Order: sequence, then structure tokens, then C-alpha cells
Amino acid sequence: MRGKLKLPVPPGRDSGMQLTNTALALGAVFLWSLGAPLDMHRSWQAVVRAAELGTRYTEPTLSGTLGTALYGFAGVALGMAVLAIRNYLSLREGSRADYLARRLPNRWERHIWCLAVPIVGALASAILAAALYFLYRGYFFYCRDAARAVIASL
Amino acid sequence: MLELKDVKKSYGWKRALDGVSLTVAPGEIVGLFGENGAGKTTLMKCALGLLGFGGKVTLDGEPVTRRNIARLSFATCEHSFFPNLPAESHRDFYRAHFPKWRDKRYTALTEFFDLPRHTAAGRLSTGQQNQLEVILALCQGADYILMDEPFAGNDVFNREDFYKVFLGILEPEEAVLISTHLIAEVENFISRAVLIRGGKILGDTRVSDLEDRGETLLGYVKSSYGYRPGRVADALDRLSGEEDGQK
Repeated sequence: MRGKLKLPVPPGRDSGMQLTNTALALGAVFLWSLGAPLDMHRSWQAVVRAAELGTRYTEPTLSGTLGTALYGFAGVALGMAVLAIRNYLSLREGSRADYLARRLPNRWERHIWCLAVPIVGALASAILAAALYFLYRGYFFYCRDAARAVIASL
Repeated sequence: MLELKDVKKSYGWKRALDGVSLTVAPGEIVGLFGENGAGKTTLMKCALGLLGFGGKVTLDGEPVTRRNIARLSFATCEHSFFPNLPAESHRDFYRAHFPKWRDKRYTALTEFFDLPRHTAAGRLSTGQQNQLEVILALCQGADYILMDEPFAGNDVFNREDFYKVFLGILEPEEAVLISTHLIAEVENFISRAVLIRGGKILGDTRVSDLEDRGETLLGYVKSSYGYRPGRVADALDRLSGEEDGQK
């Protein structure tokens, strides 16, 4: 892709690579977050087993089972802030292209180059994190209700 | 008319420009001369709005804003191209951003200087990078072309070619403000010389007036700067005297 003019990243930078890396980071934190529903399932299974055995048990909490599963998305958002800074600094790498960028008739142009991918990445991260939170929350209550139903039938 | 009125700029405690007033009229080719740190680069960057400053810079009476910034172009020895983009992509970029882009001129200049069109600008030789920088500034379609030591690193033949090309291609209304240390080389090419020292305008003269007085540009610069011709001989005498004393 070298040499191809591609917006909205600083000219000469690889937008494909920035988007691919962002997608990979989101994929990785998504995989990490899958630990949460597994933990919820295991925790409620343990509760049912304890009830079956007649031993004492405490019901797991949503925050306890969710743990750090969604923290990775905050990490991606932080990474997007770093990417934005890197994009701005790239205009000073190897030349002072920032002089040209700053005297373009469209004052927002360089900000669009530098912030477009980071903003899209951060938004995607926030939306995915929110969607997974509600999904995992729903799964937590589904497991709870299922476990309570089993315990009630004992 | 590009006009700087009482422009002041400080870097911390150091005053880089101390109330500089200067006008550049359409069609003028103005040489800006001064020692390192005199304020030449700062003056140009203030004119372009790249630095904050006190005072006023106007273009035909209007402040320089995004509406008229395209009337100014800039070639700097620091280079303002995108190092990962080849010349051809720079053409596309400029064409997309500057409506008055001079495509014919660009083609002619890149062909004349045999500039590689598909090599990333950052991989060109320093001389070629300077050429690309200057060509882009000349082709942007600006009325006022600001050049800050654009030929630092180019060989003498290449520079000569550029001066000739300059004179051949510039439209009558295009103005150039060029800062350089190559005073003798640009003498036949500029119409006016402005001297700057310690952030103040030290001298401003038409080259034709110098010719009428039988003075050379280099002589004018030296006399304005208070250059003492015997300075080097004095220093060498002193140095050799010290060494003799040590023996």
C-alpha cells in the first residue's frame, strides 16, 4: 500500500494496517472477555452442586463473575489515544509535513487524518464493551434463574 | 500585496522578531538575507501562520486565514512533503487540495529535473528532495511563494538550472520571498534585497539601485552588517602570535 494516497490517515501511512491492528486488538479483548460467561456458568453450577450436597453456599454476584473481562476494551480505547498521538507525530517524522498539513484550506483535514481511525476504534470498543456487558449480564441472570429453579426443585 | 506590520515573536526570553514590517508586492522576487538566527525562518513561519505572533500579517488587506491561505506556498529546507509518498502522489494530493494547482508546470519541472515519480520522497537524494519541495511550492498555484533556504544541499549546476527555470516560468504576478545564504548566486535573479539582523530589518533595497550605485549585493550585505574585511587576517595574526609566544 506504500505510496497510495489513502484517507483518513496521514498521507503515506497505512490505513489498512491501522484498521487491521485495531480489529485484532478488539478480537483479542473479545476472546479474553469470553472468560466471564464461562465463569458465570461454572459459579452457578458450583452453587447447584453445593445445594445438592447440602453444604453452605453463597450466590455469585454479577460484578464478581464479570471481573476484569471487559477491562481490555478500556485498554483498546487507551491504545486509540496513543494511536492518535502517533498519527500527529508521524507528520514530523522524516520531514515537517505538519507545515503543509497546517496550511491546508480545510482546517479539519489533518485532525480527520489523525483522529478518524482512533475515534472509530474507540467507539467500536465502547459499543462492543456495552453490548457484551448487557449480553453477559443477561447470561448471568439466565444462569441464576436456572440454578434457582434447580435448587427449588430439590 | 503581502504585508507584515510590526510583527513580534519571542521564544521564551529570546526575541526572534522585533517589530518587523515588510511588504512584498505582486511580481517581486525578494531575497531575505541574514546570519543564522537572524529571524528569517521565523518571519516566514509567522507570515504563514505556523507560529503565533504579535502584529499583523495581511494579504491584500485581509488577514491570512483558511480562506486565503492557498495564496501562499512554502518551500522549506526542513521539507514539508510526505516522506512516504512519491512525487506522483504528491501531485494528486496537491491537485485535490489546492484548486489553482499548476499541473502543466509540475509535469514540465519534474521532467526537466528528471525527478523519479514513483519513489517515496523520503528515499530521494537531498538534492532531489529539495527539488520536489521547491517544485511543489511553485506549482501550488500560490500568488506568494515563500522559500526558506530551498537549495541547501543542491550542487551549483543544479542551483543555476533552478534560477534560470525560475525566471522562465514565473508569471508576472507571482511573487517570491526567498531566504538564502547564497547571496552572490541570487544577485541576478532577485529584484529586491531585505536584510534582517537580530529580528529587525537592517536594510531594504532594490537590486537595480545597487547596480546604479555600482555596488554588488554581497558588498551591500557586508557593509550593512558591518563586516570587517581584515577580521580574518587579524584573528590569524593573533593566533599565530599566541603560538609563537608558547614556544
